[in-house]
Amino acid sequence: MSDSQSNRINYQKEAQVIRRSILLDAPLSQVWNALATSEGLASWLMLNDFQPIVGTRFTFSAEPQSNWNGIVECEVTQVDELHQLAFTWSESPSLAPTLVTFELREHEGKTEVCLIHSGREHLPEDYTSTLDQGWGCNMLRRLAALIEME
Amino acid sequence: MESSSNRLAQQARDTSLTAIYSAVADPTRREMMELLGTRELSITALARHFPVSRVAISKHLTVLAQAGLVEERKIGREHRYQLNPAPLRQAQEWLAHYEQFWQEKLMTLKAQVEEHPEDYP
Repeated sequence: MSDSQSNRINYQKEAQVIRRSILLDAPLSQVWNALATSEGLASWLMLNDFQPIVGTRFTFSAEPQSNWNGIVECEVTQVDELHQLAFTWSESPSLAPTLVTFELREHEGKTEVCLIHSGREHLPEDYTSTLDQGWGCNMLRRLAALIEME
Repeated sequence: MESSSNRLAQQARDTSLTAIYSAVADPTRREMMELLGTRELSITALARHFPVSRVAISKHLTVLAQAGLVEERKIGREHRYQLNPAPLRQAQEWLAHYEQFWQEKLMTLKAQVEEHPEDYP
């Protein structure tokens, strides 16, 4: 095989989770407003029709790119005021939705924001969303079947 | 002449990140992928490298094929397998893309909140 060298696989990123923390010199309530309101999210992330209500679906929209129509389909999965916000994130119908979580902590008047972007299996088990009624649920069942085969 | 076999390809594929990472989470499957990345092998040839049954190897191959990580073709009466690293690259590209994306967005968040506090009453 000509490109066997390039087939060497790097498993270092096996944990499919992105974590980023940032300390903001701003009070907790202000940071919460930047995260958990439509206007707030639009100011730093993307235009959206977000509502801070668990179970509601919304979209982020950005400039379309060559390999992406610029739309992210989301559904709010958690709103714990001033502490935690989570929503599913699906930039393509052919990929399983992932989960974006923001955790906020106050440190002497400043606010730490921890972002976690994780795979589909990190959705709470007891959370039944409209996404789960369709292929998402089937995907999990197939996955469970695969694991049982081992 | 080669005639490609679609036996594995016809099974439902799930190239989601979850399926891909689940497939590579198993050490035997990782070793199989390493071997299949260097050359094309039949199940029999592949099974010689492992202290498990041919049936177990076959099941592992099915998991890898369903995640799109292994391709199969038929040469004569023999099925041969080789690595298709594209889904893994796709998964790694996804991670690299979003690491960069969130890094930039969180820096924007910090700048916005600290420089324009009046926008977040």
